[in-house]
Order: sequence, then C-alpha cells, then structure tokens
Amino acid sequence: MRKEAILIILLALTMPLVSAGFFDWVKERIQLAPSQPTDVRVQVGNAAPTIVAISVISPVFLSPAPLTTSVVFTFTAQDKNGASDLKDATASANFNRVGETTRTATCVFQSQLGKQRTYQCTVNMQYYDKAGTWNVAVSIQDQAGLSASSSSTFTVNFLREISISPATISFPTVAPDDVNIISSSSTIVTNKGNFEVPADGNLKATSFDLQGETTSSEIIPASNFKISGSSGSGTVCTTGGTLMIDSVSTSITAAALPRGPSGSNTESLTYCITLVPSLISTQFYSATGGRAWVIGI
Amino acid sequence: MGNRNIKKSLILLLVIFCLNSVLALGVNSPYWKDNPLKMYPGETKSIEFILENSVSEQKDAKAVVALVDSQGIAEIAGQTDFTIPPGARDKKVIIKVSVPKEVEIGKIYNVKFSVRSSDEKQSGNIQAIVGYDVDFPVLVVEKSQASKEQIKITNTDYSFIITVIVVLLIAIISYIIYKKNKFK
Repeated sequence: MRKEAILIILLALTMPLVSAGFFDWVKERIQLAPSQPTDVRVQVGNAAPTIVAISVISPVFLSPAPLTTSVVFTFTAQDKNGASDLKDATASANFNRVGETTRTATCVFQSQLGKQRTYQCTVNMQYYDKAGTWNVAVSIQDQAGLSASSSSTFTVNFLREISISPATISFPTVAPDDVNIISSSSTIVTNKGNFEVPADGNLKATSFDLQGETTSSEIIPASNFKISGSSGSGTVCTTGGTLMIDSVSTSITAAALPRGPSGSNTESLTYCITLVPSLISTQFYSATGGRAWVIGI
Repeated sequence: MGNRNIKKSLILLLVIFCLNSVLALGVNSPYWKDNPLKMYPGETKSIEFILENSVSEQKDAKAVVALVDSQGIAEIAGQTDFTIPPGARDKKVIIKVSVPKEVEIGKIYNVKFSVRSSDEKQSGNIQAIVGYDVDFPVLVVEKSQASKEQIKITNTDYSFIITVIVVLLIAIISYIIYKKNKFK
C-alpha cells in the first residue's frame, strides 16, 4: 500500500517534466511566423426573396352578367437584402383552377415595414367562373432576378341566375281536337351565373292547367303540353319533349344551359300542345298570376 | 297618315314587347351540393343567401321565398317578400339552422327553399316566371371542423388603443399618488 502511494507521487512529479520536454521538442521543430495583419474578406451574396403572407380571401359572391367581380387581397414579400431589393414591377398574382381560364391580377405596392413590402392585388372574376375552390398564386422577383412564389386557396360561391325572354308563352289559335300545336315563339333562357346544366342540375319547368278566362271550370290540362330544349325542338311533340304535370316541377331532359360569356350561355325552350280537349268551349285559356309557369334551375 | 298609324302601332307593340320581354332573378349561395354547411351537434347559426337582379335589367325584380323542406332544423329568419333593384346586393334570405344536440356525427340534412319571381300579371296565353329550388346539405361534424363565419379582412391599428390605455393608466396612477401625498 505504501509502495503504491510512493509510485503515484513519483508519477505526478514526473508528468510536468515529461510534458515540458514534449512541448520543447515540438517548438524546436515547428517554426511559427511572427504575428502580422491579415486581410479578411467575406462575400455577402444576394438572398432570394420570400413570400411571408397572403391575406385571407373571403368566399366570393359573384355579380351576375354582365358585370365582373373585383376581388382584392394583399401579399407580403421579404428580402434579407432590404425591402428596396424587391422589384415592385414584378409583383404578380393570379387565380387558377383546373379547367378554368386563369384570372390575372394587377398588383401595386401598398406599404413597407422593415425588410418587407406588401402589395395589393385586384383580380376581376367573371360571372361564369366555376363555383368551388380556386388557387391564388403570387410571385415576385428581386433586382437580381431571383424569385419567390407562394399559393393559397379561396372559395367562389354558387350563383344561380337566369333570365327568360319573352316572359310569356304563346300559341296560335287552336281548335278542339287539334294535335301537336307548337308554340308561336320559343323562350330564350340566358345563364347569367355559374350554374351549369346538366353538370350542376337540370333546367326545370313547373306548369299549371290552362283555365278558361270566361268559364274557369274548363281547362286545357298541363299534361297535354310537352316542353323541350333546342336539341329536341324538332321532335318536341313526340319523342323529344318532356311531358308536363300540373303543379309539378319537371326536369326538361333535352335541355342544356352552359355557363360562359355572352352568346354561349343560352338555351331555347319550345312547347307543344299534344292535344286540345274536344269538349271545351271557344274562349281564351291562360295561366297567369299564381298559376304562371315557372322556368328555373 | 297611314304610315304614321303604322309607326305608332309598331312603337306601341315594341313598348309592350319590352315590358314583357325579359324576366331575371338570381340567388347567390354560400353552400351547395359540393360545399356543405358544416355544423356541430347543438349548434345554431343563421346563414345568408343573396338575391340578385342583374344590373342590365331595366326594372326591379320581385321575389317570394318559401321553405320547401326544413328537415326539422331550418326556418326562414328574415323577410320572405323582396323587391330587388337592378344591381342590388343587399337583399338577403336568412335561414336559421339549428342542429339537434343528440345527433350522430356524419349525418346529412338536405334543406331546400324556393325562390320565385312574383312579377305582376302579364298579358299572354301563359305567363312565365323565373324560379329556383335552392337546396344545400348540412353536414354534422365535430365542433373543431364546423364551418367558420366569413372573415372580413381589416387592418386594425392597435398602437392607438395601446397609447390610450397607457395614457389612462398614467393618469390614474398620478391621481392616486397625488391623493396620497395630499392626505399626508
């Protein structure tokens, strides 16, 4: 035990000597130059801009034809080289959706805070732009041409709006037992919204019996009428027409109502009296007021 | 003279034709088949559908709204008869929807209401009006997944509010110190 203690003490005393000897040996062989000023050069490169925020776009209620709907939103971009490195003229945005025409924005500088700049963008949407989720894409470049982009989503609401012209349905003079009398004129239905027939539903008609204007108990039943869209107009009295039922909303099978710009968004409805009842008297028969026929989607 | 009468007749016919020529009405829906209203059990909320009349129309549109199928959860909360000037966007059908507390998650209610134009009685064999059956699904979901109210973006400047609060606090503290010193 005593021997071990003596050995440890000896080792401890020897270590500094050995250590000193070792470093002396290193110093002898490695000659360091005397200290002197050295140039330090660090290149700070151009940092790419980033998009830090896109404002929330509330669900869009489209205005009906012929108006467009302005949607205003903002996005904020940042550049570590300073806000002035952002190239305002390159701030851009668009609304896009698969199968739809992309709507391009006009963006202008709005404000600056530190290394960030906010841009206000305005997009004009058409009344026939499809309802549902749309993407909003924004981008900007810096002075060196490096770009940043980002995206978000928003909802376009559903707009049912049609106009009908004329607002009356007329037939030539008929006689009892006449069959297959076609209406004097067609009803032009114009789609002023983004509802689409048949993709989103059908064009419908609710008809009512025509009552005698002198003797109201005499009628021409609604079930003696057929209605058709343009594709079935030639055969509206036979296979192309949809049979009407009194007070019931009936889908018009041979009818389509596209959404789109003016000229491409109409349908023409044709009517047929398949049989004029034989036991009715000579008078005017009509359906007006609360018994007006309803054309809708 | 004969030509004049013909001209007058044609103008009169044209006027009559214009009066009866076009009838338009629209409904703008925030919820529809592909975009259901999501509500949680026990929730009640009012939703708005905007009635539209194209700015290109020359006269006001009149409309009557009626609930077709409430599914036991919906009622019309506001007015049901409307006069909509061309271009107006402030005529709203308000539907109040109340989902029962005891209902399973995933249940779908299909609420339907009708909108009919109520134009004055017109001449002709058969008068035609515009009408819609507006239906929208109400999907019962967990509270965290329920539809949020529409968010209006506003840039609030809180610095003014903070400044006012700080000034008020300083004033109150100064007053208290003043009172204490006065009583000493």
